[in-house]
Amino acid sequence: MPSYSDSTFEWIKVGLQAVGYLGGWALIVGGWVFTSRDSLKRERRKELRARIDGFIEVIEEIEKNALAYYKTPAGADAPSDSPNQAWLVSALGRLSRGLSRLKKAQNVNVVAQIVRFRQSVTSGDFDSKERLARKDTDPVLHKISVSALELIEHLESEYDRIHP
Amino acid sequence: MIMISIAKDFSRFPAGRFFSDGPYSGEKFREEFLIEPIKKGEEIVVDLDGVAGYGSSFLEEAFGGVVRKLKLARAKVDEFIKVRSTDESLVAEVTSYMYEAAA
Repeated sequence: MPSYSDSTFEWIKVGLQAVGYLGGWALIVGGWVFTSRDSLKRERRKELRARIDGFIEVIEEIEKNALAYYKTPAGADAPSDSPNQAWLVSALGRLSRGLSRLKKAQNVNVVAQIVRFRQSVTSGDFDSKERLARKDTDPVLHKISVSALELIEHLESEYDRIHP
Repeated sequence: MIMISIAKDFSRFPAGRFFSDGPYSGEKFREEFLIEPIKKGEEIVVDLDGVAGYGSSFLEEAFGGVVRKLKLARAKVDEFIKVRSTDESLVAEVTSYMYEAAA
């Protein structure tokens, strides 16, 4: 006659087998979830890094052209291949819209810095037909470079904040 | 309420501060689109989208200029002039010019 302890032992055995079976599946699923999330995080980091690197290139190009613009006089005296107002305004517009989209997509906030960069390039006598060429040491040129650097530095610190 | 799209109603390439800077200056936009409606007490909503780009001199002369010219207090600025754009930095910049110019 089977004893109480024999059937109990059977239940325990079945129970342990079930736990082992389910535990194995839990490990597999858990491992997959962890790996997927880690992989997704790496992909997002790479994507953000690539976008920021692209923006930095654009900022540096605008800075270079803005400095060249202010070192040449306005109007008829300007060499034909010198950067012009329209290019600078359009390039700043594209940069600003791109950074705005980046803020919405990845919460990278550089609003104050892009405003200052735009102001440094397009304020003052930017539009004036009487604008004279400026020297390398001019404060306007210095301000353009400082605001470009500030924007780049802030992009980098936002990247570090999002992906420490 | 009056809705104004700078791109559709004025120019896709606004540029310059004063009339002497060109045909689509900040001064021209202010005088043709902002001054009279605000004097009449109309609320104006300005859409900044659709333009290739803005110079700060255009924005300051148009928006800071209307506040200075009409001697608007900050509360009146909020009441009469609303600025919209998908580019948050443009809204921030224009708002700062209007508030700085406010009486």
